[in-house]
Amino acid sequence: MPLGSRGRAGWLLLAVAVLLAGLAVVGWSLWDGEVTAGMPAEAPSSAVGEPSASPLSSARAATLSEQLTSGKEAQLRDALALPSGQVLEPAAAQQLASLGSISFDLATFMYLDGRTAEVRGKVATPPAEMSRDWTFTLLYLGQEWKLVDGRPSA
Amino acid sequence: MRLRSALATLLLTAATLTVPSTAARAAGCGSSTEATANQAAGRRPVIFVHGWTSDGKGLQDTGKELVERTGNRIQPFYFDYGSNSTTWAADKMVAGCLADYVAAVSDAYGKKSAGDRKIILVGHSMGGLASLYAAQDDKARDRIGGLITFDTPYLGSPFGNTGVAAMLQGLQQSARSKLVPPMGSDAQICLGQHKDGAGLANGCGAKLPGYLPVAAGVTTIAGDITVKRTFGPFPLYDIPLGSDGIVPVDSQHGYLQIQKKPAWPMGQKIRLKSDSCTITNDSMMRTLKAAGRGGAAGIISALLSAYAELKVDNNALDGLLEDRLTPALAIYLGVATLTADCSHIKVTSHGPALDHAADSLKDYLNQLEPGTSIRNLAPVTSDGEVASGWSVVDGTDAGGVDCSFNTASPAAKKGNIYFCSPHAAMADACWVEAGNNSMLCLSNPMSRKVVRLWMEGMSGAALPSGPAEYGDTPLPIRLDLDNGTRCRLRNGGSWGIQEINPDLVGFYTCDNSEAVWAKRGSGTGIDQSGKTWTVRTGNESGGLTRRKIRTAYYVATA
Repeated sequence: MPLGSRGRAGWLLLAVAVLLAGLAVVGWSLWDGEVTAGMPAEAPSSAVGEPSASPLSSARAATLSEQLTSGKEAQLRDALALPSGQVLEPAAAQQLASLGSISFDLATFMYLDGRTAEVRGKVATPPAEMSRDWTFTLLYLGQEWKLVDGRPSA
Repeated sequence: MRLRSALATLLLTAATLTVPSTAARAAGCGSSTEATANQAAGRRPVIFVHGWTSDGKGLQDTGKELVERTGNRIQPFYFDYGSNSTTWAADKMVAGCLADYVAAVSDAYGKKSAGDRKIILVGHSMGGLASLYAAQDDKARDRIGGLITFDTPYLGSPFGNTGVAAMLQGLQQSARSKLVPPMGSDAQICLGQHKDGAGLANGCGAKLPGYLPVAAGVTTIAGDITVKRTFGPFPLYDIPLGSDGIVPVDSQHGYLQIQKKPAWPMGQKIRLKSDSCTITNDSMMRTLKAAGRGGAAGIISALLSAYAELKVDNNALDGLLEDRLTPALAIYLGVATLTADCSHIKVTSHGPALDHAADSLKDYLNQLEPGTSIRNLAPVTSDGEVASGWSVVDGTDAGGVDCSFNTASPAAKKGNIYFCSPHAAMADACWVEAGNNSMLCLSNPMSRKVVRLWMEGMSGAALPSGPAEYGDTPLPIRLDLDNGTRCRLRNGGSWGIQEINPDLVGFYTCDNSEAVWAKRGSGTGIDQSGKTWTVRTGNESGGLTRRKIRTAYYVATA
């Protein structure tokens, strides 16, 4: 059912999401109980929208491409921003290796905020019926950019 | 701190603007469906009870779906406490009004059905708790035949009793004219988490909800979201949220754990059903972007930042593992709620959840239905004597009956019960009386009398010349319907047609001048597919009504 037809309840929860998001970003000032910044300890602190990490370098981009498509889980984990101890799907490394390689277009690098960014790139061998052009989300963790996800253009 | 103060001021202002007058609070119990509306003996009333901040329209789509999925065996009623829907479920303006409503609907149904007055409750979220509180009221308690809940926070919600919930509730009260709850009945406070008999949150003046009567079944349906993290089309890992986005699954299934174990309602049949669904991080992202569209630039900026945070499940996952509502987890759950079909706000229209509800409803309906009782009328012994408890009257001398073709009565469940001619003699269930000079016929199956028809000297009269073998599918000679009407099996005669349904013919004639109608060649004219048999009744003109058969009577030999 479309959200709109859910009527008031949908409206309410939409408000919840928007407000929660806003509150989280400004530091969760209203929260009476647990107060956590919600940021990894290694991340550089910055105000929203103000970059505090260097842009993605060509060297790091090449490393990310190599790690992501290595077919080896250990290297894949180095490329991805993952919850600590998170178990990956057994086929993930091999499936991502099928992409061949990724050529990041560093000119498209764009900060979402100080520690998150998007960058576009081309995959060498995209899955069937998918575009070669992908958009990748990056997170600055441990003094380096890691991949959060990637998605082909529609 | 400035933000905290500013918002507190905003909330206080909103509250001040919406404090109700005494008259307003005493104005009544909302705009629920009229208790007498569309009541019918063949349809069990089901009262739908909406949740926090919603209103009586909130579950109408759910009601329509469940009517269809139960084959029109239920009649939906929508309880409305919308103006008080930020007031805790225990309050008299919620549970008290609901108890009154249950009693009113139950009474109206009782008048129609001439049977039990049981209704079934279906509650979403806090509506399930309102049902439990209402059930503690004597006027409602024994009227409840079952309870089905969608995503009810039996053990509270992590969002309950937080600044976020308070703010949202304040906005609801301001924007939608919700009445401000009385002291100690603030729903968002009372929705705080608790378990194992621990009281409700500080600031909530109500007691814990009680249980339903043991005889009433309870079904708890829980939305359970799993987020599938993907990279492009490739799955990376799953994050089982164990929640519908608002209420943890444990709480949705926490009916028993409201109280400590010694207080549990032993013997009560409780079903725990889950509606699980999977969403992807990409679909969550689309939700976030859609939510940001059209918003202020600052909100969009914040959403984008949140989206980035969302993409890294680290904090959300940590919060889940440590059972604390971190900001990241709150965002995660909020977006999942808007995205997933089994979430708190969507579960009441999600197919699997509706299937669970319909299955339980059908079971409760069957349990509440006593079924059609089958009885045999046996006015004559195998020796041809009038059986004990029965009497005999002599028939008129209008003429004899011819039983010589040895046809069994259509209602016979024993052999040698004859169907004699002519129809006018109402001799469709006759026994040879001892002495072989007369027949004893059950002309009026509503009575405890048989009619003696002398054969000797009567023109055209003839005793059976041999045995009568009864058929495999006898027709009841008498039907007692759920509205008290009694109907006798048709025995010849010229009947009109049913004007609206000209392909139907009359099978029974009833003592309220109606008939039982069915298609010619449809066997008994009775729907015997369920535990309770049904027929369609009405006059030759006008519509027909489906009625339950309380008792069907055949004929046998004592």
